[in-house]
Amino acid sequence: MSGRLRAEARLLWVIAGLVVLFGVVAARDATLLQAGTYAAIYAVAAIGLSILLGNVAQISVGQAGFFGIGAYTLGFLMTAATWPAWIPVWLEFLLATLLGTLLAAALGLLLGFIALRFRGHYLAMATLAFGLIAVGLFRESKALGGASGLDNIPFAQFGSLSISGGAAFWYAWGMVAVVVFLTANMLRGRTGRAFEALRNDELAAEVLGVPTRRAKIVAFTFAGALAGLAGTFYSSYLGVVDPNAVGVSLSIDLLLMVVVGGAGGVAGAILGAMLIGISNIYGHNLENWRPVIYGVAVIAIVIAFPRGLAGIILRGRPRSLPLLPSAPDAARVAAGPATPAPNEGATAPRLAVDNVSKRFGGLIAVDGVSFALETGRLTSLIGPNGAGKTTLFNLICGVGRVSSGRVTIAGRDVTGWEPHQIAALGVGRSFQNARLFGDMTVLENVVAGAYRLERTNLASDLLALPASRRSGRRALDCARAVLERLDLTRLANTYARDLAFGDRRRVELARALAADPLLMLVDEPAAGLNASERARLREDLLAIRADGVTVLLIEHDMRLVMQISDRVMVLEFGRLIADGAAGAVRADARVVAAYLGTAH
Amino acid sequence: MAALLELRGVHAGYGRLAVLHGVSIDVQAGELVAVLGPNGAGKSTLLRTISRFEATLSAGSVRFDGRDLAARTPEAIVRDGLLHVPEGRQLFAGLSVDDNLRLGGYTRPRAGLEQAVADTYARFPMLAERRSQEAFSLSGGEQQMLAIARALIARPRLLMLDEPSTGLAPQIVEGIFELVRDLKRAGTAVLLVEQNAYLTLKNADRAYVLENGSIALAGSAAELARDERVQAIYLGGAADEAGE
Repeated sequence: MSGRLRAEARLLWVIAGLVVLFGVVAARDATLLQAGTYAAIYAVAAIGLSILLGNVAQISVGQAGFFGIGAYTLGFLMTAATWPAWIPVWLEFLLATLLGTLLAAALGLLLGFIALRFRGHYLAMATLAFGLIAVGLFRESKALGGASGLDNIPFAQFGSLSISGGAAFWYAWGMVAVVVFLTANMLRGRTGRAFEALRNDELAAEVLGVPTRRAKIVAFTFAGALAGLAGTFYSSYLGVVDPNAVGVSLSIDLLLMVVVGGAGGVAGAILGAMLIGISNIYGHNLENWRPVIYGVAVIAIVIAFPRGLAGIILRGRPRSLPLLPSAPDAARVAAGPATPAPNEGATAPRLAVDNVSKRFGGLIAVDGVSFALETGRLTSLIGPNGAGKTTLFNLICGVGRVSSGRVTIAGRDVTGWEPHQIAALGVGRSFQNARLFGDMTVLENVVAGAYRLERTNLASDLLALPASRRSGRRALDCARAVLERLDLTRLANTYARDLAFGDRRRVELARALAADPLLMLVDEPAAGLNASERARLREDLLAIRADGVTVLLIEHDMRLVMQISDRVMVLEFGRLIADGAAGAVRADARVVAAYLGTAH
Repeated sequence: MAALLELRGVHAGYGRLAVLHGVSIDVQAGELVAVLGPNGAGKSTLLRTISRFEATLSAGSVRFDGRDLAARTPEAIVRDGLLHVPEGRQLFAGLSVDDNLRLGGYTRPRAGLEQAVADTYARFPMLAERRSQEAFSLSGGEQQMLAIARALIARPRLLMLDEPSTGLAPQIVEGIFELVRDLKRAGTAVLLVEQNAYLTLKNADRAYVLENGSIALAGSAAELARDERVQAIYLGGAADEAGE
């Protein structure tokens, strides 16, 4: 997505121009102004949903619930509640807006936690249920007016200026502008990089140190907050809110806007909201046909333009360099990794595995394995298929939980830690099947690899504070340095899914290296490589070791293993059966039997 | 006599990933031929190329009983009498033993199926005892037997077995090899991919050793059992290093 941000920014200026033009032209037409204002209100909610759907690949069919919470909160506070006399009227409105948004955000947070337990259509059902519960509660609540809802909600009032008519149009679009500013900043910051990584491959993101669960919760909270914000202005603008207005049909409308406009980022959501907002006005006289026409249109768009209106407009644009926080010029050449070879826990072994076992039902995949790795050495872990090598990797980096035993990294007991916590200590990992982020460029992949070195937070990202930009620049510098060192710079702008097989492996190594790791777990890097690629890989692995990184390598290419390993450990049926120098291990009768069997 | 299975200059792989680089092998009717080699050498890909299961042929030819298999669909290949028992058994885990066997007979005329299932139970009494159990509840060795029995119901002329002994205890492995010897006696050709080189060579007629997607060694099983280069290929021995 970040590769498209620049093209999207141009599209946003076009949209801004259209909005201004519309506002001027429609200034005297109340119906048009109203349609334009609704479009802006929907756009705010749709942007949140677009992030959820397009950037984090989660779904919510209950966004109207948050919209309703915002609308009812403001409606209640501006009608039934008594404010202290010293608070001016304009501030009442702003405080009610803030409270409605925060309340919706809080419920978004809650839904985020619930959503972690569901996937796909179950998630759709769970969020739908949330929307239904919200409407049910509004309907049953006497304080909120029951089935008839709240009415006589006053317009927002700033001095003598009443936010209605033309003022409401400009206010609503001003709100959209602020939301676009915050959202675009967030997507350009570390938070956006975390979203993009987890959307591409959750497991790979997690082992780079991305707290994927937290990132999803952030997205749900953000989407909830924006729907709530939209709701607050809706009830202030319309003057009434009732349960039907914030029911399932609004949730579906919002989904529609995002799907038609194009999920992911902000431009598509705004286009979708404009289209549906306007057509709702003119759709009144064909009330019964509206759902039919919408339905057919949605099916057609999903089939013909799966990326929505924004996808049509942005299609064919050069997918130029990502708009990462710095605009790096060729003159600046980063000098090596951002931090020197780390020396935390220099005395403790980088990795100690103590009597670790893993059972899957009746099967013992890893059986009482113990070893410690010497700092800066390259150790290979070999063994026949199904011996438990990859399972052991998973236990070390937290992807699997040990059944018993202890894993210590640089002196810290990490047993039971989440993968992203272990990654944050400086444990890098590559996968048997090279899990790159396919929709991202090589450079973006490697920048994501530097996630653990980033120092910023959500607030800095939203406001594009210097901390956010510095952090992004640092990750970018790291990534460029690593690409340079592995001689991959020429591939920086290639999409990972377009890479040749051999390059995928090396880019994955680069991605892991960008985190400046203490320890690297490399899983079958030579599989599928040809002879020259293998020679190249050997150089890379030796270079990594030369940098002081402790390497644990799973590999079936015995020639490679015997050539580069300081030490070889052999696993069979989950147990270590040999451990020592390459030559001694190769001559070990048990190892020979493990690999070639015995004749009886 | 033309070979039952004949591969000539086969290049194959998965999408961008090329795994086999010009492999030629033959299997005669009734012969037990083994394909050995370290992990990642391309053994499973070889079987998958022949049965047209996932792997795709990019050059060369595969002929079974004189027919070019490139023009045939995977299910037609089964009807031709070429059966593949893939690595990891690939049973229908939630279905009963009986249903697994009947699905194995999917390509057979209905008339003979009952008799074939009854014959299978007579041959594998252990499966008869468990006929209504779900496949996943069987032990590893029983699952492997079921996978082979399921393939046998389709009356193969050539049976391809991919690592049937992986993860199994030695006496169970011996049972599987006994079954393979029986098949050979009954005239079924077998193409056996195995990790367990020595036990395989003791049972096979001939063998090919794959390394990095090419045939590194080929010959009679007895010759290869004595050949030190086999161990070197598996364990990266001194012979290789001299060649670097």
